[in-house]
Amino acid sequence: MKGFTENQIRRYSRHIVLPQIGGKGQRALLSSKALVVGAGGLGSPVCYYLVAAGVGVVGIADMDQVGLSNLQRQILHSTEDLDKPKVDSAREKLERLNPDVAVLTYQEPVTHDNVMGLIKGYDVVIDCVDNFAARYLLNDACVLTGKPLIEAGVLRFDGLAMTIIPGEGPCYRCIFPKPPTGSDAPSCAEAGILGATAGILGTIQAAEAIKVLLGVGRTLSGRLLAVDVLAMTFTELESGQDAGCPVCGEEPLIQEILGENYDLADCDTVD
Amino acid sequence: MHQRVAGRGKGCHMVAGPGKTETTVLDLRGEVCPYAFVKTRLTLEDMEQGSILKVIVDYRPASASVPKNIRTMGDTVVSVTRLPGPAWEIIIKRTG
Repeated sequence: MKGFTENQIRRYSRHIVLPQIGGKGQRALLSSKALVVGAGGLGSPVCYYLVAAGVGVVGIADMDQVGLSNLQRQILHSTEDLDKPKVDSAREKLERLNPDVAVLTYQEPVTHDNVMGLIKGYDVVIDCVDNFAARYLLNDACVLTGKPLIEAGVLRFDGLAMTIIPGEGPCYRCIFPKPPTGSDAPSCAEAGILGATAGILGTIQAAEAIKVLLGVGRTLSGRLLAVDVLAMTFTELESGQDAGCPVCGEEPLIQEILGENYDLADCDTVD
Repeated sequence: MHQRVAGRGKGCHMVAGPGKTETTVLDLRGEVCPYAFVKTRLTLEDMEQGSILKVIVDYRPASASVPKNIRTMGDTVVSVTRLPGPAWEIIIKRTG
């Protein structure tokens, strides 16, 4: 029972009895570090489950304040948190949930200037952003540093999820070489979203992150999972690495993070 | 050799006789399910293959659930013996 307090034995008992986790796995989680980028609809369940699971350090990056239209799906935040920085609102809830976890917050946008510094030191990155520029930026930064990235996006009743293990499976650019444009990429504000869609996909991301940290199970590396909540179907699309991928292909054009590769016009964010 | 580990129940210590395999004793009297199993598993995880753990429980459901769950983890339940009290002595060989 080395390394566990009596309270920890009780708090994590439902993990410890799982053959795939046990005490060793729980100790691994307690010494792991995960970075969640975005504390919104996806980030809320991700943060809750990682902190509840006892991931030792959970970093949260988000520049926004809590708005009224967030509360329909961003379950980390409450009515009393309106206008508060999302990272502060998140930290308050998460520290109450599990004092074993260090919650580190970064109230800043993810940019080409800071992305490498943000992800440094973390074992896994979870992409919960709402724009394509940040999505490509995180993909490239994680591929260049060999860091696992748990990816998901949601709109209306639909969601996509994949796990990117650099060198083992395709990256985001292998599957989506270019961001969609114009009417192909409406925001949640324009097109709407069922709050529970974000909850389902965020929960999938949390499970993937924990599996990656523990090295158990089969992740969504090489598989794109498409979820249709209206029909309640889960469809898998298998995909390999693209040899011509500009970041993880055989002759990559992107070998460092440069601002011109991430067009902010593609990433208008709305609450 | 004698070692105690803090915790609910009466704790954990190791005993060994000359020429005998070292046995770890885990006294879980006062502990209930699922924590009797949780603590048994945590103790087993730190033990070498082939070593022996003697667990004592006084919670009747644990006398059945601990052996059942230990078997699913791949360790070997050597015996379950009822003691006065009542209590139960569960002998486990680390094989998982």
